[in-house]
Amino acid sequence: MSRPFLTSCLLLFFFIVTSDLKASDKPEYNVAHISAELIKGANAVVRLDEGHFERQGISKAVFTHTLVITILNKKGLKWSYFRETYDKFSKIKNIDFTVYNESGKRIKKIKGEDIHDLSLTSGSLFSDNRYKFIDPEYQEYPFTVAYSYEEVYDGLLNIPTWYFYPDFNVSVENSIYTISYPLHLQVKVYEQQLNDKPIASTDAGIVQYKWELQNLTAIKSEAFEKPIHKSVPAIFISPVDFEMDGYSGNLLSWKDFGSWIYQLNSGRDILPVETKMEIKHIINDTPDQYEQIDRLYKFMQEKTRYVSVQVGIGSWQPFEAAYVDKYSYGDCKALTNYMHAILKEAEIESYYTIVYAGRNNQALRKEFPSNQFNHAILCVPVEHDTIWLECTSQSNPMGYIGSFTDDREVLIITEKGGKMGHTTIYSKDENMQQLNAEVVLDEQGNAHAFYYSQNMGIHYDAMVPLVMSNEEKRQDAIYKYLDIPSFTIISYSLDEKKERLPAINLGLEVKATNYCTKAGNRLLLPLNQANKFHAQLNRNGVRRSDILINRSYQEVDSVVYTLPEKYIVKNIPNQVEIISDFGKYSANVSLDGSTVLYVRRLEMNKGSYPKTSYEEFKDFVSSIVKEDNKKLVLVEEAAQTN
Amino acid sequence: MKSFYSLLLGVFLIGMSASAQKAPIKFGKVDIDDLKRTVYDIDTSAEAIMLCHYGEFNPTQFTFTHMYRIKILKEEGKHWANQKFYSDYKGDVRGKTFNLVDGEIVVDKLSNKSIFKEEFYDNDYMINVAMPNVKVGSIIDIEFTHFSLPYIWRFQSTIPVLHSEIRVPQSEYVTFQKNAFGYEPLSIIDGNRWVAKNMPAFVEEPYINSSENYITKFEFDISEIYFPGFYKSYAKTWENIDKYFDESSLFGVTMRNPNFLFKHIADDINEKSTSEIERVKLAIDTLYAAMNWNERSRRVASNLDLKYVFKEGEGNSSDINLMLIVLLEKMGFEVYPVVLSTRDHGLLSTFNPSRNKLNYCVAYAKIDDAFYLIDATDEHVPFPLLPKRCLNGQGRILSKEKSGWVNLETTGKNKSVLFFDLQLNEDLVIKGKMSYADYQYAAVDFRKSYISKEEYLEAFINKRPGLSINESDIANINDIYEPVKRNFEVEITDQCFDDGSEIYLNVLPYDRFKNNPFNIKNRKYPVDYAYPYEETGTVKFTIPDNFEIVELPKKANVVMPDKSVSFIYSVTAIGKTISVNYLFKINKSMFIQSEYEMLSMMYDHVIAKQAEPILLKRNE
Repeated sequence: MSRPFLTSCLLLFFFIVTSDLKASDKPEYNVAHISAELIKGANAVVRLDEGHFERQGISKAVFTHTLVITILNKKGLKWSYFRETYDKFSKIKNIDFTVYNESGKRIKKIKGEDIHDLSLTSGSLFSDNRYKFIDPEYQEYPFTVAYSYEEVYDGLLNIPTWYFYPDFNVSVENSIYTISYPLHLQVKVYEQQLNDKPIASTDAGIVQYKWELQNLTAIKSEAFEKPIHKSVPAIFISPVDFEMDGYSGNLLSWKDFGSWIYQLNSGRDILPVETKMEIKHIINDTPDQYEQIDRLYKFMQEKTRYVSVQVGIGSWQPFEAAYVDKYSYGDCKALTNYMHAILKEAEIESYYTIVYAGRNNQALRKEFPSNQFNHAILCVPVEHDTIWLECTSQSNPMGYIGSFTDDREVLIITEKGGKMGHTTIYSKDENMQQLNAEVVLDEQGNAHAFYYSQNMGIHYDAMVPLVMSNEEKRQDAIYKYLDIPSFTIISYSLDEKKERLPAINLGLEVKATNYCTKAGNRLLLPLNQANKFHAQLNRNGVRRSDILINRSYQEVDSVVYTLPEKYIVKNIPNQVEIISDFGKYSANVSLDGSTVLYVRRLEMNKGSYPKTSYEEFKDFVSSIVKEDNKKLVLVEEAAQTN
Repeated sequence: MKSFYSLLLGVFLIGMSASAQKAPIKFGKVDIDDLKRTVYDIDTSAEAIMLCHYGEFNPTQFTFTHMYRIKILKEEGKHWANQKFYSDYKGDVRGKTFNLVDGEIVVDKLSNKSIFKEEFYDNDYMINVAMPNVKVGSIIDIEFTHFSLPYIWRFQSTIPVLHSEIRVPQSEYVTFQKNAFGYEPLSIIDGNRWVAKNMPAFVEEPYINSSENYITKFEFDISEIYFPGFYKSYAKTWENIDKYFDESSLFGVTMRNPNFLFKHIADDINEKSTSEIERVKLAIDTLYAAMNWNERSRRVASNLDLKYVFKEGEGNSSDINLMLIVLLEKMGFEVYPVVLSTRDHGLLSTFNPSRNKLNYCVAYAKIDDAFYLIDATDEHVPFPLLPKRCLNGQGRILSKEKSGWVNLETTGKNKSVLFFDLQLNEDLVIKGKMSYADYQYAAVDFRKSYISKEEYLEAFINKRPGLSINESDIANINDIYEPVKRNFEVEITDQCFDDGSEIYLNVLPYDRFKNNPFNIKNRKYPVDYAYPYEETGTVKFTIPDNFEIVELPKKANVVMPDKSVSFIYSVTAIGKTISVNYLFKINKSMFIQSEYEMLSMMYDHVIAKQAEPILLKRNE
């Protein structure tokens, strides 16, 4: 930083007064000590990350954690915050938080009322999850924060996972994790991306393991990769025997974990008599099982709404069905259990099922039975078929689960314990988008266009918010959705097919000014304006991660352009077909009098591809981008003959 | 100026009729016709409708009661049955759900089991309720009572509101001011009773100031509370507020404290230069270097002793800017504090004295016979620019002699200049230099987001698929009084297209407006850019000797009638050298709704013109 001379004098003046190192300073935190390779690409550098998890009893444990991290720039600022969550089963104690400047001189210590205690309820109606929070409000880069705390557990289903990398663009000087437990209170360990075995020792009946990694250079995020928590070195730990609020269980197998959940749920599916009669009444005129499930699912959807309430063991145990029936709300567990109770009354078999929900459909650590779930759905086996019901949705058609829980391993809870299952995989034909358009052009290059798109599977998911919004927000969303420079919506229509594989069809009539670009007396017509492929891939550097395409999908576009009077096409591009392991692309232009037909098809193949094929992938993507940007040259007939 | 007293008089004259007026709704008494209705004309796509929001102040209890009556119209509107209220712990809530079952009204009471009270942040409480048995078609009534007057009464919501009414009867215990905001008219203003009818849902638009400036609402400022044995007085006039600041130990008093440390620094600076401007810049630089702004906007200092805060090296906006004022004063400048409301805090109304509405202070100093507004919190902002957060209407000058108002306008712009010098080769690859310079607010934005050259270059090429960089240079990142400059030696492969006989060369490789931000037809609120915009571009192309120009884009000169926006564009050629020159200027920062359509058309012109390619062909 170049500062005027005077300022440096002033600063110098302060240094002279204060540069004597005090005992509270930490010269070893001096930023100059960080090696150049750890600075590269980093917004923050972990100097020391040290955790110790000590199991003391069936449900008692203490986790002590120290983090020293140097913040290099504003993008690393969030790492200067302290944020640790706790709930009824754990307490945070002995927080010590200090800020040091670039040279390791102590700037301030934070205590008392500057340590905030906040509720985590925000998204839910009520939960006893809270967090301790400190913002040191310091921004003179670079600087270092050092903190330590203790977390005391009473109830041990989840043991903190140790990630050796906290995030992208953070490098690590030293990261150490140790666990210890009495011989008779076994824990299980799952190592991810670790080469070296831990240092193990046993002393007076206490087993201890220690992992340590040093000098981890910062990693950058890459497009088409799996989530960071699945790819960096990490230690997952789970108890074998455990107890939560007096409910004991073990995690020797998925079967055993399932038994614990079953025990929590048992006896909570009793419905009041009136509701039982209503259920009978709803289905009494149809013997068809699909129809019965459909009607009862709709009944549940109309009657209830999703409200999250998480208190103590209630984070694992659903409300009783009678409670949901009375108040008409519940969280995923309560609503799933309620739907289960309804189907039971209709003599339809169904199973409470736990799943890791989210846009990402990554596999479980299957060989490591432990709590890897955050959501509940209902599994309804019918002849030659399994129906999955998302019970927190008031709008899903029966049996449609969408990208929130599709294609993943789940734990089905049965009387005999847990059983692995797999939710619906939507195929390439199901994740389908079809666009039919007619674009009428005038001599000025303006267009009057009609679009009709049919969206299924993941394309349906993307359109749901549009259906949900009110008029103004909907228009706003359509303006953002359509990638045309200047246009006005004349009218639109939305219609939803609520079937097991649902679809949302969007019809649009727009007027676009300057749809074509003028070039002298020619008009340049962009062949694919409305549905371009977007992907931003890193062009330089070595690919770090494998290439992940989460879902197969396809798009079929067919656009008919009506040319302005007296205009003809000057260039007809050749038909294009690009075939690779990742997918397929084709585009074709054909001429019929004063109309041009453009047909484009894109298919993507779900899969994980080795990083060695990155060049091929880049070529595939850039060829598509290039083709999607092709233009047709239109000229006036008279001009052509000149 | 509308003082409290005129309001009081109004209450006396028409107060009687207001109190005689029946409440618009009574808790628990719903109209069966509303239960039967499935659609409301005001917005047929609404997920829910607020049939009524009624609030009444009870001066003897010193409590305020809200009543909400909401009709659920769609499945996705059911979340309106979950409500959050923030309050002290004494907040009381009750509720009822009404459903029509076989033509009969069925009522479910809100159970205590569905009311959750918790301390969400230190001493603030959050009360969550989940109404029972809510279905499409249900009506819910919720009543919520809390201590004191609310700070804000919003007549609008994110769903339409058919009837919103607030009554604040005159009371000997409390006097208050109210400030009105928003774009929707009220239907009834009747002394102490205000009613708005058929309020559309509030929807945000791009390029607006804080949404709080647009929603139709009242803000309340309590002027005085006097309970037996308790008296507290607040501002009634701006003069009262001036006096409050002057007498505040965290404002006027701390400013007047003897301060030898600042005297020393002032003397040092005065020795460095005789130029007034230079000395002011040195004073600002001193604070940039010595103080870390903790991102808190506050109307007063955090400590009685500014020296202490200075030694701590960290403070809120008023800590730092009061230091600046003290420093400038000791340097011999005529300087006053100006208090203001930042953009995210909403617009200050000069007609309604309000201390709550002030959350920031800057210096107002006379330099070479002219007055300047100065802020020293943000080291990215060069004098005489003010940070964007401060550009919000008017500020109040605090001074015994000069007390009054000052426009918080800026002389700065969001200004950028680009200059390209490019050679087209026969293989249609373009090589050459691209230079960019960002000035003033454009430079502030650039510096704020800049992390490292490596990161910047990666983002730069990732956004420009056919471009690769051979050499690059980024200058003046740290020297805020100079423009940020970037120079690149580039190679571009994707900005030319050959149709077989002719070649189309993009005039502005990558750097042009691509989508109109104002495609949406209707605009409710003014467009607010915060500061003027200016972009100048020059692109020189040299084409190969055996290429010939077929046609150049025609020149354009488009100006808004009041000259507030202009676009000048020309492409000319001399021999094998083509020059593109353009200037796009937005001269003012605020456009009212009637100018919106024109503004949108300006963008259309710019987009269309910048997209036009140069037409070339090869000589056989």
